[in-house]
This record gives sequence, structure tokens and C-alpha cells, in this order.
Amino acid sequence: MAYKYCVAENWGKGFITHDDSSKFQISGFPGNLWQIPANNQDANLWVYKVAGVWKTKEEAQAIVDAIIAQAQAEWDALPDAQKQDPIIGRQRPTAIVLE
Amino acid sequence: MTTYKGINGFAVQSVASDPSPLDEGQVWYNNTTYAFKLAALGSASWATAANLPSGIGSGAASGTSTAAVSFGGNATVPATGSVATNSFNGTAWTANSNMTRSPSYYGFAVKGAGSQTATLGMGGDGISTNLNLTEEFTGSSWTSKTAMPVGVRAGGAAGTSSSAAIKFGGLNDSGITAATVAFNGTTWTSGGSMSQGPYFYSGTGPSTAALASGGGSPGTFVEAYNGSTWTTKSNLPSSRGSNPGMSGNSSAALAFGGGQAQNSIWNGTSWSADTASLANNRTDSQMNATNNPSTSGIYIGGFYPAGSGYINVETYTGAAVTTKTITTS
Repeated sequence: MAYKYCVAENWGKGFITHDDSSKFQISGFPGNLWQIPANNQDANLWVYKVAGVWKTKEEAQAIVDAIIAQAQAEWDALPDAQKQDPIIGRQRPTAIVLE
Repeated sequence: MTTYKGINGFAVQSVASDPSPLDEGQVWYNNTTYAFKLAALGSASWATAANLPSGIGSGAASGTSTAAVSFGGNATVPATGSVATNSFNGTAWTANSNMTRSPSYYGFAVKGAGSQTATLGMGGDGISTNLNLTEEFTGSSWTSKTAMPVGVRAGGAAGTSSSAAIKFGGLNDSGITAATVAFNGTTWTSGGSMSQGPYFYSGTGPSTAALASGGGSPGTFVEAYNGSTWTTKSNLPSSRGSNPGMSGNSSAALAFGGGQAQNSIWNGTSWSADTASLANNRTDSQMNATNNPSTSGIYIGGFYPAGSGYINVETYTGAAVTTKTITTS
């Protein structure tokens, strides 16, 4: 399936309604980035409704990459003892590749 | 000409108002609105709800999607713990008194069970040790209760009130534990042992019909508890390693998040894929409410990616039979 991307701040109630998510799949990514199906009127209307700013796939990937890199840097800076703690350290954030 | 009566052996009823309750597949003619109608199964879905006052992950929650309480957790990983408590009425969040534990870091990896007005907060991460702290929330404030026999962080919890709750699995000072302890409002007693005790289990249901799932690697393990014994059940279809959200009980439940956007539905015997998916799949720990029916759910905060807690909240509505108007063209 082909996708399109936009950036929009999730303000909470009403940002995505049950009606929206019943009509099409909305997938969120770090950086207030949202992935929606391409060539879908309902999805396009939703982007308009939430005042989303369209991003190309390359721009969207750059947004995600920057946030993951920041999270990885924060994790790398943790003391070794905390990295090894199964709860505190969690796992080092991994890259996200957009479809 | 083929007729409805010819196929089904009876005619479509003509009624002045839509019937209630609806039976899936039911067809009727509404002679007030001049429309043929059908009772059809709708689709399950998630929707965004009011954001938390501040981002949180790896905390606890109890109640239902319209009467929940969220507490503990971490604002950021690893060291900024929180003892903040917020109540949700289905529309908005209200700040309540902080948990009694101090320092605030002790709110990390706490587990909760019960209702919005009778919740138990249990255990937690004490930095160099594991906490046995037990606290009760009655709707506005917290009071200390009898401490757990052994300090435990993470693991799972279930129960419908602060006087009928269980805590299971997790990490104590000796390592991974499979033990279960039950609280009756006054004292703790030992319960059955799980066959495994991963760190990041989640639980749902009453203490006598609880379901636990997810946890660590591979994150597919499922067990049911009848009040005294754990029984291994069919695995989750895919890994939900880090504190998945759960609702329901051992015979009908929903599992969501924990590294998977798509929900899984439990019918007491096996899992199936739900049509609904979370919009924002927090891939690290998130909170879950333990007292929901399986047709609803709430997903509060979480980490995605690891580092900072989310403020976002989503609520789930399961598939229900609704009225559809039949049109011809």
C-alpha cells in the first residue's frame, strides 16, 4: 500500500475519532508524524481537519531519524549499570524505516 | 421474481420505530422513515482522548476507559520518577493527591489494580532494591496499607478493587519471581506460582479470573489465574514484550500495545486479530487499566521511542451491532 505523511500535533480528544479510525488506518510516529493511506479522500479530509502539514516520505523519514538519533544518544550516555538494568535501561531505541 | 419471504420463509416486519435491542442480521422496514434497515456488526476502533497533564510511561492505571486513575511511572528514562495521580472521567483528566511514597522515583515500575475509587498501588523500583510498598487510592487521596511480603517491581497485577487484588511475577531482590500474592484489604497471602515470571507482564480481570500476557522475550506467553492456580494458555500471536495494555478477564479479553499496533482478542481459548489498531504504538512500556470489559480499553502514556513519556491517550470501543439503512441503486 502507498502512504502519505503529515505532521500535526495530537491535541487529544477529537484529534482522531472512532469514525476516522474506522474509515482508514492512521499510524503515528515520533515527531507528531502521521502516516495515512495515499489516494484516500477520508484520509485527505482528516489531514485538513487536523491542520496537518504534508511531508514527503524523505522529509518524514528525516524527522523520525532525528528523534531516534536523539533517543539513542541519550541511551548511550546512560551509565553501564543502568543500561544493564532490565527495567531502567530498556533497550536502545532502534531505527524506524517508513514504508 | 425472488422475494425475501420466498428465501427466508417470512416477510420483513414493518414497524414504526427501530427495534431494540438489535440482533445481528435482523432486517426490518421502518414505516415512519420509509427505509429498509439492517442490524449489522460495526467495526472496532481507537480514538484519541484528552491528553494527560504531563507525559508519563511505565506507570500504572486502574479502572475503566470512562473512570480511570493513572499514577506513578517515569516522566523520562531513567531517573525522573513520578508519584503524580490523575483521574479520567471519559472526557477530561483531574489532578489528585500524589502517592504517599517518597522520593518520587519510587513511582517507577509500580503496579495497580482495582477501580477508580478503590485502587491499590503495589511495589515499585527502589533504585538499589525493590519496594514492598502498598497504597490505597479512594478517589481523591492515598493511604498506606500493609506492605507486601516481599519487595517487587514491575510484573503484573489484577483485581477489581483494593480489597481483592493480586500481584504476580516481576523482579524481587533475588531475581525474577513467579510468585503471586493476594491482598484482601488488610493482609497479604501467598497464591499460586506462575510457570514463568517475566518482568513486563500485564494483567487484567478479577483476582479469581485473571489473565496475564506479554512480558520480556519472546513476549507471547499467556497464563490464566482462578484464584489459586495459574494455567498456561495459548500464546499471543505476536510479541507484546513491554507491558501490553489489557482489558477483560480470563474468558474474554483484549491485548493491545506493547510493541504491536494491532489488537489481539481473547475468547477464553484462543487469540484472533482485531480489525482495530492503535494510532500511536508506543513500543516501550505503557500503562494499562486492569478493570475494563474486553469491549473497551484505554491506553495511557508510554514511551516511543524510549526516553520521554507520552501525554497521549487513546480509548477503544469494541465492535457493536448498529443500525444500517439499506439503499438501492
